[in-house]
Amino acid sequence: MSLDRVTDAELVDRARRGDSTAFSELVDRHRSAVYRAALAAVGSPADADDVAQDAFVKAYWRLDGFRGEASFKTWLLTITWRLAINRRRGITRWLRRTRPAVRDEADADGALDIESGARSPEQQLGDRTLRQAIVAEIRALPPKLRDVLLLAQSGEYSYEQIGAMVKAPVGTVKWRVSEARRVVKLRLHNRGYTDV
Amino acid sequence: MFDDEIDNAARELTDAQPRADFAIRVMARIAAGRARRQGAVNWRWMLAPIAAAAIVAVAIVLGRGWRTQAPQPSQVAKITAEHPVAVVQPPPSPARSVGPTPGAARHASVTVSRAPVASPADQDFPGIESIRLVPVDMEPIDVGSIPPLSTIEPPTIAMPALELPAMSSGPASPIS
Repeated sequence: MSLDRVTDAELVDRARRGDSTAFSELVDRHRSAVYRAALAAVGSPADADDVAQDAFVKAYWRLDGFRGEASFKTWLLTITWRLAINRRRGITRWLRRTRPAVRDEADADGALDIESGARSPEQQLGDRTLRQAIVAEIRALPPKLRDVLLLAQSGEYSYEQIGAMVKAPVGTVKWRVSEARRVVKLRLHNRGYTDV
Repeated sequence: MFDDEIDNAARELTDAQPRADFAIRVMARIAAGRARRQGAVNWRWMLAPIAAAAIVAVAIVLGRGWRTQAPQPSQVAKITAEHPVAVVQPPPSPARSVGPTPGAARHASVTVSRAPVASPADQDFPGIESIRLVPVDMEPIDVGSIPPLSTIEPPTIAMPALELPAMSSGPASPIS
């Protein structure tokens, strides 16, 4: 029997009774959302893969604790986000020990050695494209702003799901997305870029 | 323009998919964890009777030690008052005899015997077979021979004879 039309709740029930095929179907359905959430938090594909695996394994052993108050996807994303943040803290601590010049945890991949506005627009235009500058400024955002911007723009999650992950009300999530855009634009202006 | 560029850049930062064998790896980890847990459960079942036997052994040892302790007189009085029991008196036996033999070698002979004592615990737990201790027989301890004591003859002390004047037979005067 195909599991395509079976709801998540039914699959969870089957998995609780020991049906590993049902849980495998849940993994297939949500692996992309879980992986992208982890990637948004840790920034590295290898770390994101580890975190996503850990999240599914942890969810499997905690299926009895899933009461169905939220959707399975939201519950799974909450587990994923917690694991990803813990992983990111570990990476940041390691980087701070090895690279004291790192400004904040947003610089975990080492892409943020650029001082905003330190270089002239001519030099930057010569070296980099506008897209690269935007990526750098997004990565330089404070974690609270960057996280919600990446999650919101991924298209995988609703604002409610993002709020459940970062433990913030929907209104706060929307404000953070807007604020993230504003900060990035401001920094681009400081670099000499003009919005057309 | 910036808004669109920012949204696109943010989307690209998370626009990735896990490897194709992701689900297989997850299920393999779950299966490995299940096997590990199953092994742990088996170990628990194997350890359970061993732990139970150990508890029983400790209980027996502790119970034996508790019974061999002589109760304090006050405790005996209290327990006897609450639960009258027949206290078995030990049979009269030369529990300890130390006897000098006049004019001969002196031997010290010590015999220790322990008579069964009825414990209040026997009454409290009638289902449990009481543990009675058998008397312990010990070889006499030979202290060794001691030579007989000789008669003590104190030497005579030479003292001059006291000469006292004769006392008058009149009434005694008070001592001043």
